[in-house]
Amino acid sequence: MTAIWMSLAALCLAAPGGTDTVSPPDLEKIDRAIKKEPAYAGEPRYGLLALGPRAQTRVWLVLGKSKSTGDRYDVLYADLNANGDLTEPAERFEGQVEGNDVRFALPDFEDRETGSIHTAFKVRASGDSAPTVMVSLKWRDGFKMGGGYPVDPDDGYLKFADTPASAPVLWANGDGPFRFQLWLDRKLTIGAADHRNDLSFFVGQRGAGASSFWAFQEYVVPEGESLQATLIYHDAQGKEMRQTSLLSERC
Amino acid sequence: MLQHGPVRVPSDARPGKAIVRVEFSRESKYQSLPTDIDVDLIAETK
Repeated sequence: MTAIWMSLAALCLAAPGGTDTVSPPDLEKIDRAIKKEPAYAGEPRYGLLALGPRAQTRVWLVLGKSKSTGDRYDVLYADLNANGDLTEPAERFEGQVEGNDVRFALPDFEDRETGSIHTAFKVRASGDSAPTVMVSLKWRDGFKMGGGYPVDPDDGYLKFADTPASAPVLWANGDGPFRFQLWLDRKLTIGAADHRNDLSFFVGQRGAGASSFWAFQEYVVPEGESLQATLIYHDAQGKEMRQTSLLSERC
Repeated sequence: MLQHGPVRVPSDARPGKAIVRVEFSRESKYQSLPTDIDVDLIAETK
């Protein structure tokens, strides 16, 4: 009997489309301890990239400065072997200044937990004293993904933290199941069925911390395929009602 | 990449807080976890 249930569970996990009952990992509970850190110039900024279906591979990304008096974060410590030791010489990278940004090109990343290799691994930091950060890679050398995204750009993009304990977590997982994040407007006009009620969604994974959504950065949903958006609302009599719309456009 | 489109709000909806539950359809090759997003329903201004 146990074997039958296990087979059914495996079938459910492998079934295409729809929903999945697997719970996402609790990113808030990830251990934020770093085993070994270098002597930083300036105040470091901490972020954590978790990879894989259970977020089991953890790569610390720490922004530092080449000079303690520098006005921009131009050094990145990236724990590419995920051993918690940031003092290894091969894990210190100097960025290239491009306009107002500092860009770091990292080697292909091999996730030793899953055997996957992710390419085009990049980090971009804005060139100011409290930089915003965008991390991106090609998941299994395929679709480009990255984060972190806010709901509203006026709220600001991802910022790394001044301590490991308060570091935001990005969850890089291109295998699904996926979740969604709204982009911009939260207001819907009653009775309208036009552009005023057009909602846009990122497809990807929720992180932990502000502006930490990890999303596909290129078209991954096939043309003609829709997202299902069910409005759960109350009518004039206070009764809960549902109205489903199919969102088939992409940009 | 953003997926988007108009969400229909029936004319009998009461103004105030509501939820949009987003997921891939059962026919999709992708799996999703239904994601509830808070929205505000507002009356149409003439």
